[in-house]
Amino acid sequence: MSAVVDVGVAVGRAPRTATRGAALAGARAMAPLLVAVTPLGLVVGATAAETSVAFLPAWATSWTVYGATAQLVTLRLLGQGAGVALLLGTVALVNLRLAAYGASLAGHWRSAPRWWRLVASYLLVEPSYAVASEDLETGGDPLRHRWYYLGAGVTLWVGWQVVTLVGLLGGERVTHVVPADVALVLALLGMLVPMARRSGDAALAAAVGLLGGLVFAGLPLGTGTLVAGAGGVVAASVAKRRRPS
Amino acid sequence: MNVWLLLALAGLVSLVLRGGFVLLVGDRSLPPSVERISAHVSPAMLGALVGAALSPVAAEGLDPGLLVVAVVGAVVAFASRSVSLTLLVGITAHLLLQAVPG
Repeated sequence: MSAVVDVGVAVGRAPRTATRGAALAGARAMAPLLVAVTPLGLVVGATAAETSVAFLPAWATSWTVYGATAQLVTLRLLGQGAGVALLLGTVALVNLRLAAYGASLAGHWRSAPRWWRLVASYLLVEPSYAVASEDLETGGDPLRHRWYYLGAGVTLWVGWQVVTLVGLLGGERVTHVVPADVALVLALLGMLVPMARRSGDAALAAAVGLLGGLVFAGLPLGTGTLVAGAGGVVAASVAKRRRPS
Repeated sequence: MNVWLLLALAGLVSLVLRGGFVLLVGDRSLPPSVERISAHVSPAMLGALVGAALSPVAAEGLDPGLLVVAVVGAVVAFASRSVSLTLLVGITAHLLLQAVPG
Protein backbone atom coordinates (compact mmCIF):
# COMPACT_ATOMS: atom_id res chain seq x y z
CA MET A 1 0.00 0.00 0.00
CA SER A 2 2.81 2.36 0.88
CA ALA A 3 3.99 2.93 -2.69
CA VAL A 4 0.57 4.05 -3.89
CA VAL A 5 -0.05 6.27 -0.89
CA ASP A 6 3.42 7.83 -1.11
CA VAL A 7 2.95 8.91 -4.70
CA GLY A 8 -0.50 10.21 -3.91
CA VAL A 9 0.61 12.25 -0.93
CA ALA A 10 3.71 13.45 -2.80
CA VAL A 11 6.21 15.59 -0.97
CA GLY A 12 4.47 18.94 -0.92
CA ARG A 13 1.22 18.03 0.78
CA ALA A 14 2.67 16.78 4.07
CA PRO A 15 2.09 18.81 7.23
CA ARG A 16 4.44 21.76 7.00
CA THR A 17 5.94 21.62 10.48
CA ALA A 18 6.78 17.93 10.14
CA THR A 19 8.57 18.44 6.83
CA ARG A 20 10.46 21.46 8.14
CA GLY A 21 11.52 19.49 11.20
CA ALA A 22 12.80 16.64 9.02
CA ALA A 23 14.69 19.00 6.70
CA LEU A 24 16.30 20.75 9.67
CA ALA A 25 17.28 17.40 11.18
CA GLY A 26 18.92 16.50 7.85
CA ALA A 27 20.78 19.80 7.77
CA ARG A 28 22.01 19.18 11.33
CA ALA A 29 23.21 15.69 10.38
CA MET A 30 25.16 17.19 7.49
CA ALA A 31 26.77 20.02 9.47
CA PRO A 32 29.83 18.11 10.75
CA LEU A 33 30.41 16.61 7.30
CA LEU A 34 30.25 20.07 5.75
CA VAL A 35 32.88 21.24 8.24
CA ALA A 36 34.97 18.22 7.26
CA VAL A 37 34.88 18.91 3.52
CA THR A 38 35.58 22.63 3.95
CA PRO A 39 39.41 22.32 3.67
CA LEU A 40 38.93 20.13 0.60
CA GLY A 41 36.61 22.71 -0.98
CA LEU A 42 39.16 25.44 -0.32
CA VAL A 43 41.84 23.35 -2.03
CA VAL A 44 39.57 22.69 -5.03
CA GLY A 45 38.89 26.42 -5.31
CA ALA A 46 42.54 27.38 -4.88
CA THR A 47 43.57 24.79 -7.49
CA ALA A 48 40.97 26.20 -9.86
CA ALA A 49 42.47 29.67 -9.41
CA GLU A 50 45.86 28.35 -10.51
CA THR A 51 44.65 26.85 -13.79
CA SER A 52 44.13 28.81 -16.99
CA VAL A 53 40.38 28.27 -16.72
CA ALA A 54 38.49 31.57 -16.31
CA PHE A 55 36.90 32.43 -12.96
CA LEU A 56 33.25 31.73 -13.70
CA PRO A 57 33.66 28.45 -15.59
CA ALA A 58 36.10 27.32 -12.89
CA TRP A 59 33.53 27.98 -10.17
CA ALA A 60 30.80 26.46 -12.35
CA THR A 61 32.44 23.04 -11.93
CA SER A 62 31.00 23.20 -8.38
CA TRP A 63 27.44 23.07 -9.66
CA THR A 64 27.88 21.15 -12.92
CA VAL A 65 30.08 18.18 -12.02
CA TYR A 66 29.76 18.83 -8.22
CA GLY A 67 32.32 16.61 -6.50
CA ALA A 68 35.91 17.28 -5.49
CA THR A 69 37.70 14.57 -7.47
CA ALA A 70 35.73 15.09 -10.67
CA GLN A 71 36.15 18.86 -10.36
CA LEU A 72 39.92 18.63 -9.97
CA VAL A 73 40.13 16.34 -13.01
CA THR A 74 37.83 18.59 -15.05
CA LEU A 75 39.82 21.71 -14.17
CA ARG A 76 43.10 20.07 -15.08
CA LEU A 77 41.81 18.80 -18.42
CA LEU A 78 40.09 22.10 -19.29
CA GLY A 79 43.32 23.92 -18.41
CA GLN A 80 45.24 21.66 -20.77
CA GLY A 81 42.68 22.21 -23.52
CA ALA A 82 41.76 18.53 -23.64
CA GLY A 83 39.16 17.35 -26.17
CA VAL A 84 35.55 16.57 -25.40
CA ALA A 85 35.95 12.77 -25.57
CA LEU A 86 38.86 12.67 -23.12
CA LEU A 87 37.11 15.04 -20.71
CA LEU A 88 33.80 13.22 -20.69
CA GLY A 89 35.42 9.78 -20.53
CA THR A 90 37.54 10.80 -17.57
CA VAL A 91 34.68 12.45 -15.70
CA ALA A 92 32.58 9.34 -16.27
CA LEU A 93 35.30 7.07 -14.89
CA VAL A 94 35.96 9.25 -11.85
CA ASN A 95 32.23 9.46 -11.10
CA LEU A 96 31.48 5.80 -11.67
CA ARG A 97 31.31 5.22 -7.92
CA LEU A 98 28.35 7.62 -7.79
CA ALA A 99 26.47 5.18 -10.02
CA ALA A 100 27.10 2.51 -7.39
CA TYR A 101 25.61 4.82 -4.73
CA GLY A 102 22.64 5.50 -6.97
CA ALA A 103 22.12 1.78 -7.52
CA SER A 104 22.19 1.10 -3.81
CA LEU A 105 19.61 3.82 -3.05
CA ALA A 106 17.37 3.29 -6.09
CA GLY A 107 15.29 0.57 -4.43
CA HIS A 108 14.61 2.67 -1.33
CA TRP A 109 13.71 5.71 -3.38
CA ARG A 110 11.53 4.07 -5.99
CA SER A 111 8.22 5.33 -4.63
CA ALA A 112 9.35 8.98 -4.53
CA PRO A 113 8.06 11.45 -7.14
CA ARG A 114 10.14 11.82 -10.28
CA TRP A 115 11.21 15.45 -9.52
CA TRP A 116 12.41 14.41 -6.09
CA ARG A 117 14.47 11.58 -7.54
CA LEU A 118 16.02 13.97 -10.06
CA VAL A 119 16.97 16.53 -7.40
CA ALA A 120 18.11 13.80 -5.01
CA SER A 121 20.37 12.32 -7.71
CA TYR A 122 21.88 15.70 -8.48
CA LEU A 123 22.75 16.12 -4.79
CA LEU A 124 24.29 12.64 -4.49
CA VAL A 125 27.91 12.61 -3.36
CA GLU A 126 29.79 10.81 -0.51
CA PRO A 127 28.49 12.84 2.47
CA SER A 128 24.88 12.94 1.23
CA TYR A 129 25.06 9.22 0.43
CA ALA A 130 26.36 8.47 3.91
CA VAL A 131 23.59 10.53 5.53
CA ALA A 132 20.95 8.89 3.31
CA SER A 133 22.03 5.30 3.95
CA GLU A 134 22.45 5.98 7.66
CA ASP A 135 18.90 7.35 7.79
CA LEU A 136 17.48 4.44 5.78
CA GLU A 137 19.09 1.98 8.22
CA THR A 138 17.02 3.43 11.03
CA GLY A 139 13.83 2.96 9.00
CA GLY A 140 10.90 5.30 9.49
CA ASP A 141 8.52 7.25 7.32
CA PRO A 142 9.63 7.57 3.65
CA LEU A 143 8.14 11.07 3.43
CA ARG A 144 10.21 12.21 6.40
CA HIS A 145 13.28 10.58 4.82
CA ARG A 146 12.81 12.64 1.64
CA TRP A 147 12.81 15.95 3.48
CA TYR A 148 15.60 14.81 5.74
CA TYR A 149 17.75 13.96 2.70
CA LEU A 150 16.88 17.21 0.92
CA GLY A 151 17.79 19.20 4.04
CA ALA A 152 21.14 17.41 4.24
CA GLY A 153 21.87 17.51 0.50
CA VAL A 154 20.98 21.19 0.01
CA THR A 155 23.03 22.18 3.08
CA LEU A 156 26.08 20.44 1.63
CA TRP A 157 25.49 21.87 -1.85
CA VAL A 158 25.16 25.48 -0.68
CA GLY A 159 28.14 25.10 1.64
CA TRP A 160 30.25 23.64 -1.16
CA GLN A 161 29.46 26.54 -3.51
CA VAL A 162 30.51 29.04 -0.84
CA VAL A 163 33.66 27.20 0.21
CA THR A 164 34.95 26.63 -3.33
CA LEU A 165 34.24 30.30 -4.10
CA VAL A 166 36.30 31.37 -1.07
CA GLY A 167 39.09 29.05 -2.25
CA LEU A 168 38.93 30.59 -5.73
CA LEU A 169 39.06 34.14 -4.39
CA GLY A 170 41.81 33.34 -1.91
CA GLY A 171 43.91 31.33 -4.34
CA GLU A 172 47.36 30.61 -2.94
CA ARG A 173 46.69 32.76 0.10
CA VAL A 174 44.32 30.11 1.45
CA THR A 175 46.22 28.85 4.45
CA HIS A 176 46.04 25.26 5.49
CA VAL A 177 45.86 24.99 9.24
CA VAL A 178 44.06 21.75 8.60
CA PRO A 179 45.28 20.06 5.43
CA ALA A 180 42.60 18.68 3.12
CA ASP A 181 43.86 15.10 3.37
CA VAL A 182 43.66 15.11 7.19
CA ALA A 183 40.07 16.40 7.18
CA LEU A 184 39.12 14.01 4.39
CA VAL A 185 40.48 10.90 6.13
CA LEU A 186 38.81 11.85 9.41
CA ALA A 187 35.47 12.54 7.73
CA LEU A 188 35.60 9.23 5.86
CA LEU A 189 36.47 7.36 9.07
CA GLY A 190 33.71 9.16 10.94
CA MET A 191 31.23 7.85 8.37
CA LEU A 192 32.83 4.43 7.85
CA VAL A 193 33.60 3.12 11.35
CA PRO A 194 30.07 3.39 12.79
CA MET A 195 28.80 1.71 9.59
CA ALA A 196 31.32 -1.13 9.92
CA ARG A 197 30.38 -1.63 13.58
CA ARG A 198 26.86 -2.54 12.65
CA SER A 199 27.40 -6.04 11.23
CA GLY A 200 30.10 -8.54 10.43
CA ASP A 201 29.34 -8.25 6.72
CA ALA A 202 29.70 -4.46 6.78
CA ALA A 203 32.99 -4.77 8.67
CA LEU A 204 34.27 -7.28 6.11
CA ALA A 205 33.23 -5.07 3.20
CA ALA A 206 34.99 -2.12 4.85
CA ALA A 207 38.17 -4.09 5.62
CA VAL A 208 38.50 -5.57 2.13
CA GLY A 209 37.73 -2.18 0.59
CA LEU A 210 40.36 -0.51 2.76
CA LEU A 211 43.01 -3.10 1.97
CA GLY A 212 42.21 -2.89 -1.74
CA GLY A 213 42.35 0.89 -1.58
CA LEU A 214 45.83 0.74 -0.05
CA VAL A 215 47.09 -1.73 -2.66
CA PHE A 216 45.45 -0.33 -5.80
CA ALA A 217 45.90 3.40 -5.09
CA GLY A 218 48.46 3.57 -7.92
CA LEU A 219 45.90 2.80 -10.63
CA PRO A 220 45.01 5.88 -12.70
CA LEU A 221 41.89 8.08 -12.42
CA GLY A 222 40.56 6.57 -9.23
CA THR A 223 39.98 3.18 -10.84
CA GLY A 224 41.85 1.62 -7.90
CA THR A 225 39.09 2.79 -5.55
CA LEU A 226 36.49 1.21 -7.82
CA VAL A 227 38.34 -2.12 -7.95
CA ALA A 228 38.79 -2.06 -4.17
CA GLY A 229 35.16 -1.14 -3.54
CA ALA A 230 33.95 -3.90 -5.86
CA GLY A 231 36.21 -6.34 -3.99
CA GLY A 232 34.65 -5.33 -0.67
CA VAL A 233 31.12 -5.77 -2.02
CA VAL A 234 31.92 -9.20 -3.48
CA ALA A 235 33.65 -10.39 -0.29
CA ALA A 236 30.73 -9.38 1.93
CA SER A 237 28.19 -10.90 -0.49
CA VAL A 238 30.05 -14.21 -0.68
CA ALA A 239 30.41 -14.33 3.10
CA LYS A 240 26.68 -13.75 3.49
CA ARG A 241 25.77 -16.42 0.96
CA ARG A 242 28.01 -19.08 2.54
CA ARG A 243 26.51 -18.57 5.96
CA PRO A 244 23.35 -20.55 6.79
CA SER A 245 20.74 -17.87 7.41
CA MET B 1 34.96 23.60 -28.03
CA ASN B 2 33.30 26.25 -25.88
CA VAL B 3 34.13 25.82 -22.19
CA TRP B 4 30.49 26.21 -21.13
CA LEU B 5 29.37 23.50 -23.54
CA LEU B 6 32.09 21.21 -22.18
CA LEU B 7 30.98 21.93 -18.62
CA ALA B 8 27.34 21.32 -19.48
CA LEU B 9 28.23 17.96 -21.03
CA ALA B 10 30.46 17.00 -18.08
CA GLY B 11 27.61 17.93 -15.73
CA LEU B 12 25.17 15.87 -17.76
CA VAL B 13 27.46 12.83 -17.68
CA SER B 14 27.75 13.22 -13.88
CA LEU B 15 23.99 13.51 -13.47
CA VAL B 16 23.31 10.46 -15.65
CA LEU B 17 25.73 8.43 -13.52
CA ARG B 18 24.22 9.65 -10.25
CA GLY B 19 20.61 9.36 -11.31
CA GLY B 20 20.56 6.62 -13.95
CA PHE B 21 19.52 3.84 -11.59
CA VAL B 22 17.44 6.08 -9.33
CA LEU B 23 15.32 7.34 -12.24
CA LEU B 24 15.17 4.09 -14.21
CA VAL B 25 14.14 1.83 -11.36
CA GLY B 26 10.97 3.87 -11.07
CA ASP B 27 8.30 2.06 -9.07
CA ARG B 28 9.48 -1.42 -9.97
CA SER B 29 11.06 -3.42 -7.20
CA LEU B 30 14.63 -4.63 -7.47
CA PRO B 31 15.52 -8.31 -7.17
CA PRO B 32 16.25 -9.15 -3.50
CA SER B 33 19.80 -10.16 -4.44
CA VAL B 34 20.52 -6.66 -5.74
CA GLU B 35 19.07 -5.08 -2.60
CA ARG B 36 21.24 -7.32 -0.41
CA ILE B 37 24.38 -6.50 -2.36
CA SER B 38 23.63 -2.78 -2.37
CA ALA B 39 23.83 -2.71 1.44
CA HIS B 40 27.56 -3.47 1.14
CA VAL B 41 28.34 -0.66 -1.28
CA SER B 42 28.75 2.11 1.27
CA PRO B 43 31.16 0.42 3.73
CA ALA B 44 33.19 -1.04 0.84
CA MET B 45 33.51 2.25 -1.06
CA LEU B 46 34.20 4.36 2.03
CA GLY B 47 36.80 1.79 3.09
CA ALA B 48 38.39 1.95 -0.36
CA LEU B 49 38.52 5.75 -0.21
CA VAL B 50 40.22 5.64 3.22
CA GLY B 51 42.72 3.08 1.90
CA ALA B 52 43.48 5.18 -1.16
CA ALA B 53 43.98 8.30 0.97
CA LEU B 54 46.46 6.51 3.25
CA SER B 55 48.22 4.42 0.63
CA PRO B 56 52.01 4.56 0.31
CA VAL B 57 51.50 3.70 -3.38
CA ALA B 58 49.90 7.10 -4.00
CA ALA B 59 51.82 10.06 -5.37
CA GLU B 60 53.22 11.55 -2.16
CA GLY B 61 54.26 8.29 -0.51
CA LEU B 62 53.48 7.19 3.04
CA ASP B 63 52.69 9.96 5.52
CA PRO B 64 53.30 8.60 9.05
CA GLY B 65 51.61 11.63 10.66
CA LEU B 66 48.45 11.05 8.63
CA LEU B 67 48.51 7.38 9.63
CA VAL B 68 48.66 8.30 13.33
CA VAL B 69 45.81 10.80 12.91
CA ALA B 70 43.78 8.14 11.05
CA VAL B 71 44.26 5.58 13.86
CA VAL B 72 43.23 8.17 16.46
CA GLY B 73 40.23 9.09 14.31
CA ALA B 74 39.20 5.45 13.87
CA VAL B 75 39.33 4.81 17.62
CA VAL B 76 37.27 7.91 18.39
CA ALA B 77 34.78 7.05 15.64
CA PHE B 78 34.44 3.52 17.03
CA ALA B 79 33.86 4.69 20.57
CA SER B 80 31.68 7.72 19.89
CA ARG B 81 30.01 7.05 16.50
CA SER B 82 30.18 10.80 16.03
CA VAL B 83 31.67 12.52 12.97
CA SER B 84 32.04 15.81 14.88
CA LEU B 85 34.00 14.23 17.72
CA THR B 86 36.14 12.25 15.26
CA LEU B 87 37.06 15.49 13.50
CA LEU B 88 37.65 17.42 16.69
CA VAL B 89 39.96 14.86 18.32
CA GLY B 90 41.65 13.93 15.02
CA ILE B 91 42.46 17.53 14.12
CA THR B 92 43.73 18.15 17.66
CA ALA B 93 46.02 15.12 17.23
CA HIS B 94 47.22 16.52 13.91
CA LEU B 95 48.00 19.94 15.43
CA LEU B 96 49.83 18.31 18.35
CA LEU B 97 51.92 16.27 15.91
CA GLN B 98 52.78 19.47 14.02
CA ALA B 99 53.90 21.08 17.28
CA VAL B 100 56.28 18.22 18.10
CA PRO B 101 59.73 19.20 16.79
CA GLY B 102 61.45 16.85 14.34
